[in-house]
Amino acid sequence: MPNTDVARFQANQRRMMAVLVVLVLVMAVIVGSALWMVVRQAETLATPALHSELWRSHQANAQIRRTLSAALAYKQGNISADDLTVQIQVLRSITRTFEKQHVFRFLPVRRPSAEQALNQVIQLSKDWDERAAWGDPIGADIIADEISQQLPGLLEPMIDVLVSANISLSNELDDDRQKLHSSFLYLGWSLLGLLIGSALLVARLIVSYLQVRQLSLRLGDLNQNLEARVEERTQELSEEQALLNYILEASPSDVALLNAKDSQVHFVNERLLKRSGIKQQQDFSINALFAHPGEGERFHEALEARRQINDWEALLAGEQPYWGVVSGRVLDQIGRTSYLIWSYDISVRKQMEQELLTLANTDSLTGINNRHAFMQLAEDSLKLNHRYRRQCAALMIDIDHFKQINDVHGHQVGDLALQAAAQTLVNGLREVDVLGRLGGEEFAILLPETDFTQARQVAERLRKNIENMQVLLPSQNTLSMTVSIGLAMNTSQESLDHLLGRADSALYQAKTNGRNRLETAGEAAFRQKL
Amino acid sequence: MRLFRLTLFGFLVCCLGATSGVLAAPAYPPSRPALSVQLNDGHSINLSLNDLTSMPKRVLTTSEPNDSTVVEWTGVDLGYLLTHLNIAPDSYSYLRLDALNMYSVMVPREDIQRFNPIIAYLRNGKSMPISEYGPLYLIYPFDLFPELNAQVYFNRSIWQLSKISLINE
Repeated sequence: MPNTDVARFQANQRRMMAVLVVLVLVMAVIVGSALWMVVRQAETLATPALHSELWRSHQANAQIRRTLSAALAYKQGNISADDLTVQIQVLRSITRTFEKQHVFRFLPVRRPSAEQALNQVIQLSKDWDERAAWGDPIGADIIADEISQQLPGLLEPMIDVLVSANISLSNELDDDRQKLHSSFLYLGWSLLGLLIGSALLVARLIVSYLQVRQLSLRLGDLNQNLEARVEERTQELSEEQALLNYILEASPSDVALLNAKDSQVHFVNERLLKRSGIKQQQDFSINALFAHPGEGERFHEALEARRQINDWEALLAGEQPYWGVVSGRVLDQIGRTSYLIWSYDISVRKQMEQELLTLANTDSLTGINNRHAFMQLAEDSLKLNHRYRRQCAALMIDIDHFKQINDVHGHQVGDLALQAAAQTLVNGLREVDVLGRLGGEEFAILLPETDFTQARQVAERLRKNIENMQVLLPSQNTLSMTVSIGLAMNTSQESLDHLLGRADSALYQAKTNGRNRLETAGEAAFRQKL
Repeated sequence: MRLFRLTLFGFLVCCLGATSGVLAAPAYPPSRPALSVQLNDGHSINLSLNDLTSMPKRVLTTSEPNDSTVVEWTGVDLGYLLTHLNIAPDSYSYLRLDALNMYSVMVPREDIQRFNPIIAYLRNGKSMPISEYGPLYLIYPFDLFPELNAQVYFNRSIWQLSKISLINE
């Protein structure tokens, strides 16, 4: 759900909650007031209502008549004075109740005649009651006279009292009824309100329940989907992993995938394990890949710095160290950094390279440097001598009458002669000396760090060695030969070509002077040329 | 409101108490017949206040829940009185009680057995004149039995009691 939807949903929820709270408060007020009313009504109804006004009015009427009869009977001597007193006291007991109670309270229109008559009866009965004593015939006589004078005139108005009491009582009862009716109406409305409020609350509860149910169902669905998705993804990932492993295994390269942080090994293909002689995948490390200790560290630093390394040539570790090319990548996967390292064996290529180099630089017949290689090596050596201002010497050597050897013995023998001569020369030289076959039967030698005397000694020795050499021919005959040698001492800043040129001139001199001899180049020629 | 009728008069009596005290005259002649019991054989027994006060007394209190007014009634158990007069419980099913003011009530036998009302002749220790609903007053033990709080029993609490008749039906 978008944020705005969430906000609107929450606002709705708040509004709904506020409405519910107000509803509950209103309901509480209504119910509280209804409860208060009910309690009051219950209190009122806790004891019987004593609507005895009518009965007492009637009793007053009846007792007036009885009192009147008693007075007459007393005067005739039929009853005793105490009997009259009893009747008077009874009358008083009845009128007493009217003193405190307003019998005509609920009369819609006042009836003064009734009120007046009642008051009169009350006053008279009170007066007589006070005066009537037990065992007092004289007092009784007087009271009896008063009774027979006063009461007959009150008989008719007392009917009014009865009627008024009846009307008042019926009105009072109706008033009670109306009060009860309105109370019940109020109660009814309250209950209706309560019912509506409860219905709303229940509806709200049901809606909430349905929403919650729907949400939980959706949540369940989402969960299921998520689980299915996770499973699917896991499956995909494991398939991808399997495919990746398969590809890596099938790769012509040796591949390893390591964690950058803790050097944990994720993957090393079989070939690499086999090649490096490591048994457990976990034992693999960058350092273990390289034959030279420290090279792994350098590779690691370079990889961290550049994040990718292509074709790092190095001697790699194995049962037999071998030349390989190592490449590396820093891979940032989710949450972790890994190194992908792959290498492949280039020892065959290296070997071929070496062979090619050898082929290119070696004279195939004699196995010594060819002209090209000699020129390169001699140049390097000469430059070194120049830098350190050392003397060095160049020798140009040519086999005497080599054409005759070819002509007489054939080219094969010629070749043998050349091989033997080359070997003899090699044997007579130091490691640092540079020897090469410039072509035909002509050899050149550069003697570094050699002064004139030493150079002459070397040259003379070489000449003698050749002279003393016996080449065994296939025909069991032996062959001897001689060489002429031209020597030139290097002077500062002289080029190789020039030096060799001067040596060549000295060789020519030696040839001219009879062969099998050494001639030294003069410096004058050099100076002239400079 | 519960004993409105009773306490209303109690209140009135309190107001009038002073005057009664000053007069110091008996509220009702002690030897004059106050209660007549009509027997089944047609005879009747007249009992004066003296007769009644000589019998075992029983005191009941009635109170109003709304205020702390407590009225103390002293009198004779109605059941005791009937037994004393050799009236067997099975000789009647109702008692008809008549008052001086011609009021009358029917009291079932069960009421006597269950509630044991008294015929009170003293209210708060004082005798009651006729004008104050004396001299005899039938009082139910309202404070002991909540179910007595009903018009039926208020009606049966007859004052100015003067006659008891046995009714068999």
